Amino acid sequence: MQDATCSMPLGADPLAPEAAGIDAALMERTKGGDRQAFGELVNRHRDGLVNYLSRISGDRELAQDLAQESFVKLFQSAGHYKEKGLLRAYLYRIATNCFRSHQRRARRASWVPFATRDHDGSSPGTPQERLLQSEALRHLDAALAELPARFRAPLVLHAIEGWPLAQIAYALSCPKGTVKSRIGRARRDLRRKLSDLLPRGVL
Amino acid sequence: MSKNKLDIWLASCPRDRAGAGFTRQVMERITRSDANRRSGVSTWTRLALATTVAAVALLAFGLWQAGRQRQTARDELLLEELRAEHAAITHELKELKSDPSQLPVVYLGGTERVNLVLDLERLQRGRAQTVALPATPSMN
Repeated sequence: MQDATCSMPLGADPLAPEAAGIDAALMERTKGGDRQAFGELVNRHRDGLVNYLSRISGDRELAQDLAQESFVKLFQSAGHYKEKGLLRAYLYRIATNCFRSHQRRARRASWVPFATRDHDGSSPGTPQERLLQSEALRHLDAALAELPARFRAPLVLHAIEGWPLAQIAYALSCPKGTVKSRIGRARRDLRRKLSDLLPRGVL
Repeated sequence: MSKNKLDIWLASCPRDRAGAGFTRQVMERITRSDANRRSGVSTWTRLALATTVAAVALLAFGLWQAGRQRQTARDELLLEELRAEHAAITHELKELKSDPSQLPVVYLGGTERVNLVLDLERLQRGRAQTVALPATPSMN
């Protein structure tokens, strides 16, 4: 079982078309009590899940904790899981519910701005362009932070994680139409906020 | 700002990643959770056992209490009968003492052929007599 932060076991991208088949096989082995298979599942989805939870909670430490809790719940419910090729969405549904439970307990979530997040510094362009991009990201982060979680979550999954609408709808337990309208509303609000904040022509 | 530009910016946002040892921590939490579940089952078993013992004890106490109540009721009934009998005898004695004209005839003894009686009324009148009567059919 690999456990390096940037590892991607089995060499498979969880977003790739064949990923659902690999997930299904690993889940089947997990049902049979194979913990190593479950470890591989964790390795496949941990980064995406942590990023999603970090985005919607605004708290990186909390995101790590909620992601671990979500995987534990996935393992415990493995016996009840029915294969429909939606394991990833099922996992994110568990994670979303964990986050909602946490929100109910904590009442409010803090937000860690991008400025304090690790950045790999791999942005292309001149130092001036990178500075502008960094500034834009800071504003984008601030604008995202102001979105209610119910609008932020579908936008993150769609625009940042690149998920199809059907899977987002399953993960968030709401109809596809609702997902579409929430993403539209989130985009509109972001555009409005960023238009006010950034100089013309930057975006 | 165009919609596409926004999507490009969103897609280029820096991504958070799972921390070092994430998978190991998940597996440890699963192991701990399993242990807690096992301990939870044993707790439930203990709880069920304790509940059963308490229920049996309560049932036994209830049965004992019910038996005791039945015995008390029987004793009270017997006592009531004794009191009634005592009251009747007392009443009879009182009547005897209060009406001298109704002095009884006291049976002293007898055989199958003869009953020996003492007529107290005659005795009071100074004519005490001891009369021997045939055992049957009458004793006057």
